[in-house]
Amino acid sequence: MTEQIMKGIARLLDSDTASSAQKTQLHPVLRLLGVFACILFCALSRNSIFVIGVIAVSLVRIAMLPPRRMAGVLRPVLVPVLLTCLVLLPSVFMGHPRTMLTVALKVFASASTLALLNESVPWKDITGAFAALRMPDIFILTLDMTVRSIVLLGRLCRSMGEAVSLRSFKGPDTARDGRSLVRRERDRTRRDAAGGLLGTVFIRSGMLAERTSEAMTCRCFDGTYRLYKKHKWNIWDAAYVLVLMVLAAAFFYTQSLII
Amino acid sequence: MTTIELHNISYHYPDGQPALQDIDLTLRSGNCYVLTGPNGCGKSSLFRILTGLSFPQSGTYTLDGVPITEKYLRDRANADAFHRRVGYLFQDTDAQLFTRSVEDEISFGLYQMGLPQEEINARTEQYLDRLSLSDLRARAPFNLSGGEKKRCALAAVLAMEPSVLIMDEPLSGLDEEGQDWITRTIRALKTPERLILIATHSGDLAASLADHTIVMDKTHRIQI
Repeated sequence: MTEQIMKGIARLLDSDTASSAQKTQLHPVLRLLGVFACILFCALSRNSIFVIGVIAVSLVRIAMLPPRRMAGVLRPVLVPVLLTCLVLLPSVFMGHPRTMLTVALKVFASASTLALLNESVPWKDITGAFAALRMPDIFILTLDMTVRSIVLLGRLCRSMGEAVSLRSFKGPDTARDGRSLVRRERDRTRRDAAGGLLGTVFIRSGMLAERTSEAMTCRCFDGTYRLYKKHKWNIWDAAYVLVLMVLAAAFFYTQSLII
Repeated sequence: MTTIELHNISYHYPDGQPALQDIDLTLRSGNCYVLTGPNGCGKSSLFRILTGLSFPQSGTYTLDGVPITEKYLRDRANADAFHRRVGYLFQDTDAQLFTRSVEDEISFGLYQMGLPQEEINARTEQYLDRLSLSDLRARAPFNLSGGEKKRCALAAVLAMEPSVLIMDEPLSGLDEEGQDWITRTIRALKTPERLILIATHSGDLAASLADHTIVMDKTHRIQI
């Protein structure tokens, strides 16, 4: 669990580097709308042709990624797909195998487009896209500060976890009941340490919030939060709008096909 | 010309522990004051009072003759006018930096001041350049190194062009090169119109910048 959280934080940090910040020249709002349209069309689709088409395009894009990033995109996609298959497995035995296949494909298409968005657009641009969609300033500020708090408190957690691990030791495991007194004592100490760690993080998060609020007061915060950098529309944005139109046309065309 | 006057300021923490006792101080623009003293002597508490984040239980604090009280700062217009004049560089830069990118951090205060977009752009670019942050402009502040964070926080404060600049331990957490850089930058900030007040444990910084040195002791008083 902790490892997963740390990996998530690492991904956040990684998405902030200069090289990844220049991954895309497209307006993040368009990317967000594109993903939303894809998920909506997949959910509304009455046959598999459109969904398979979306999956094919997604797979082609994923295949162009370096292996490490490819794995980073596919791993979170496979989990909901497998879960969907597991939940819908009874429908196969009840004589409706297509149901499982259709839903699993839709889940795969939706999850893969989302994972690709997450992979190719830095978190800052995604929250910035909300601002361009006229979301309230305070909502964007809350999102940004949440990301910041997750990272800062995650680092604190990691440091404290390392400090705890440096002070713990491995005792002998030989005992009649399989767990020696030393080991039980060690487990108890670790549980206490984890509790202390969580408590400390909670207190520190309160302090951090208080200091931040003071820093905002010192800079005359009045509830306004505007983003400095404005994206300039370019030829790639126009091309992407065309792609979105093709996507919509493909959806309506495939719905007219009878399979 | 800016003048800060403190008369008989005393401040206690909520648990009753004294933080400041009978502080009398007059600070004038055109000077750089360096505040030194042992840990826990009340330097940060004094700074919190000077920046309007805390209020003394007794005594008066005036800025150009205007008493700065809780009631006075409760008025939005007064608070804005006060915070435009008094810039505060926190010791903990992680708490001070809260936006998505370095450029947003610098422009944040400028938007709050209601400046025209052209001026916001001009000042943001000016301070990005002046504090050598242009290459880091798109980076999230929490991902920067200690020295870069300090520069970013300083740029965000300076962009608002305050006449009073208060810095709490500006050298903390910096390597030698970073300390030199900050010292040179602060020296360049000394102008006849600006009042600079710095809390530090660094003798070198005090020696190289201070026009006046203020020493606090463990009794939470200013040594005479």
